[in-house]
Amino acid sequence: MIFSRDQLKVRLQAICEGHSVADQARMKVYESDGLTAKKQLPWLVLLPATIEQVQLIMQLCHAHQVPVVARGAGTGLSGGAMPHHEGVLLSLARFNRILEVDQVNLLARVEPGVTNLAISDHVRPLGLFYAPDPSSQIACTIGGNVAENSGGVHCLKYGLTVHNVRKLVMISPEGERYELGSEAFDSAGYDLLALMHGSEGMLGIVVEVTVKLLPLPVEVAVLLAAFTDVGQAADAVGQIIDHGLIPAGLEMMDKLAVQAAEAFVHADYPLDAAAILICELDGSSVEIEQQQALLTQVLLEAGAVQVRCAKDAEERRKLWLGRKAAFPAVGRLAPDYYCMDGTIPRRELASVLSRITDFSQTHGLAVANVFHAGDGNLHPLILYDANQPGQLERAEAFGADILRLCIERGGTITGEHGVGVEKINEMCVQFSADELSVFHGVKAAFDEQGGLNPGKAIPTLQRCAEFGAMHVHRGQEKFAELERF
Amino acid sequence: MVVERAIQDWQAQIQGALAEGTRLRIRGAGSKDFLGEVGAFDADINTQSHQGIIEYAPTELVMTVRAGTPLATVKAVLAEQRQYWPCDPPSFGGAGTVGGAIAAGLSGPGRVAHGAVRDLVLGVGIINGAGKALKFGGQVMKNVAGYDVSRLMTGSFGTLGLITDVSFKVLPLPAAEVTVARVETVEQAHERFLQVGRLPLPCSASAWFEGTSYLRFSGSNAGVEDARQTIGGDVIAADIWSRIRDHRLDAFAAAKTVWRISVPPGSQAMLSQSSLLEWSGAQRWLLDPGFDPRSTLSEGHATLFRAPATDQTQRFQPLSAVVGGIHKRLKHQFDPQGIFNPGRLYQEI
Repeated sequence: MIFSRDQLKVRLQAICEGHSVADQARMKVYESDGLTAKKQLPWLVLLPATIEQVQLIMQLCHAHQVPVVARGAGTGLSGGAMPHHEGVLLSLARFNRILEVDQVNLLARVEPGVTNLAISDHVRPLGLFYAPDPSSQIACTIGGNVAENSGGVHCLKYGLTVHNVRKLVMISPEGERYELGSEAFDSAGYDLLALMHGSEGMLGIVVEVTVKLLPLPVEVAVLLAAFTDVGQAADAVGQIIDHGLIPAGLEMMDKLAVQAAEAFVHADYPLDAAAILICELDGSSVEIEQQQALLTQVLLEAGAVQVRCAKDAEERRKLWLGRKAAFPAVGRLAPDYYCMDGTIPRRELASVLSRITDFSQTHGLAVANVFHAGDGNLHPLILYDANQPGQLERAEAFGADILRLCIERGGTITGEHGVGVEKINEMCVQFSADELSVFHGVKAAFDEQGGLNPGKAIPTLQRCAEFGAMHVHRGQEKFAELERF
Repeated sequence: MVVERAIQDWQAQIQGALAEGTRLRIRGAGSKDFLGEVGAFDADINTQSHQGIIEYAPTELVMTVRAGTPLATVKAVLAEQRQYWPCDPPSFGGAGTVGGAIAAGLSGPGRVAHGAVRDLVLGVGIINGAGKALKFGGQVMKNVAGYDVSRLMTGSFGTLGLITDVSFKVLPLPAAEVTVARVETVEQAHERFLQVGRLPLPCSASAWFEGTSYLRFSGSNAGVEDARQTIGGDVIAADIWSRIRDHRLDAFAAAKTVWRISVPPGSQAMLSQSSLLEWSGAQRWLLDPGFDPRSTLSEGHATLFRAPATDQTQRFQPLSAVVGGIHKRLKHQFDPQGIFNPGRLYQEI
């Protein structure tokens, strides 16, 4: 049965038993995700709490061709959860229960609105943890982690979300329930479980997630190494791996980021360092002792002027706190900041950092660098003031320069924050028209009508043509060899 | 971008097949010809001549190779730099190419420690069913630009496209490794594997067959020694793991029908009927069971891995209606005319 728009609204609200938001003022909360520069009010916000409710919502929206944008905690940094003006914003925040912990198979079955940290907190008394730990873990949800294939500071050793999820319960755009993966290690047919990771809510609605749990390591050591030269710190990363060491985490911060973090949380960072590396080792006591000695030696040989090992749990917590609070800390330095997320081969770290310093001068904006050095995943934070005319545009141009540099050096425009609305133009640089067509084909295989999160993640060929033209107009012919269409 | 000669040749062959309406069987070393349905094909497209390492910088922990590169070559080149590909795909009959390993998605005993083939794949070059040469993913560990087509290709048995080259993650070889054996029943071994899994020990493989359980620990000298003392058992020197991986055990040679059962490790399903238990119990092998394991299996899935050609049983576990529908639509998007390996995985794709 087909309803008028107003009737449909009433129906949809009734499905959620009043858990909905329709007035403009109250919908403001949902107008953006963590990328606050991109805002849009939805037509309607719905907060279902059961799988059946989600199915009914999807069925109705599909029949009426109403777009649906799923949202977890809204901590995403690429506008992936930015609402559609004619669509439903489907908040999964009320799906917040941990349903089951399987201590034999080391699995936790949870609803998608459970926060990342809540899983590890819940299973810690059992001696277990959930490995991926994005810095926003206190707030971000596991459903959002699947949509973005989130990493974190420990993914060098323990992998990304895709490596730590066994099974998903999905709702199709037509409202059908289906399962991907299983409690076993693999499943028959195509690896649709992997395909769903990082798909940014474009292929289906995640309503249940089964994650893999790991035994907590016996011992943990956290080392801090200070360098007087950024290039030396960057090169030390490759040398650590060259010695056969795979730390549980390996992070780098430059001077501005260190100073901001220190002023914000007093992590006891060396303020005179050009860059610091934070390195975590885990394992048995003897193992840690041996690895720590080797790591210290490698760091000193790489030019570290100071290597310090946290003495106790409190000092370890403080060293990590500075890193995990780096974004808000940098946020105190300027009215606005723009966080980038390119990934490059590790060997390019030093030279890419030096190019970013050049860009900073060209665009006249300061930049603080925080990154997952072990994975080559950069998070340059460009500082600007949106109230100063032209600064937002300069910040975006600066960001685009960094992303193109990442592609040029054999990397990618996004390591873990997703494309969303933010990096959609850069997708035209990273992929050819034929490759983008394959992505559109994948989308169509799951969502023929295109109602899920429309306009995100994958640019239309038309959009790329316009973007390409824009660049020729500005005389930026660096990618002139790329296909235009 | 310079398009390699082999890729141009394949594109021409694919264009020819599209024009003539013929179907192609993608084949590397042919070491897994026995696996899956026979499918329907008019000609082979052979990847074996497309060999060689395109890029390998050890500190990046990434290797990029042409699809026809033998697994043995990859292993040898990595070993020179004291590195390895931890998913350790099988080399049945000692053969096998990287392209075949990706297409089949099979992992070896080391899967329990550092992941399956799909976990380590970072990027692929493919030719799709329209004859277009395309690249997805890349050479970096973290990459969420576009859908994860690289992992979609893994285990798709060539039904979505021809894999031309692959980038995958590698790791430093562990400093130390030890295997301990113990004579015990399959039930005792299963219980032990689950217990070991609960401990923060560097367990890198587990198996039980012919009345003996085996556990391998890999890591730092101290970590491995610590594990050996904690777990006990007799240290054995012989390499049993490649024999297990490649099914070179006596019982396999004699078997006509081999079933692979993939279940949660703690499952009791078909435990006592298993001839070989791996992956802490998550992978079980039944030899000539004399019944269809799918008739009683309530979790996981079962693959008829080897069987006489006359056996009509469907090789892979049937899919649910919704998931089967997604398969058909994906196949249509990647290979609209159905020229690649039709019927090899499921009849409909």
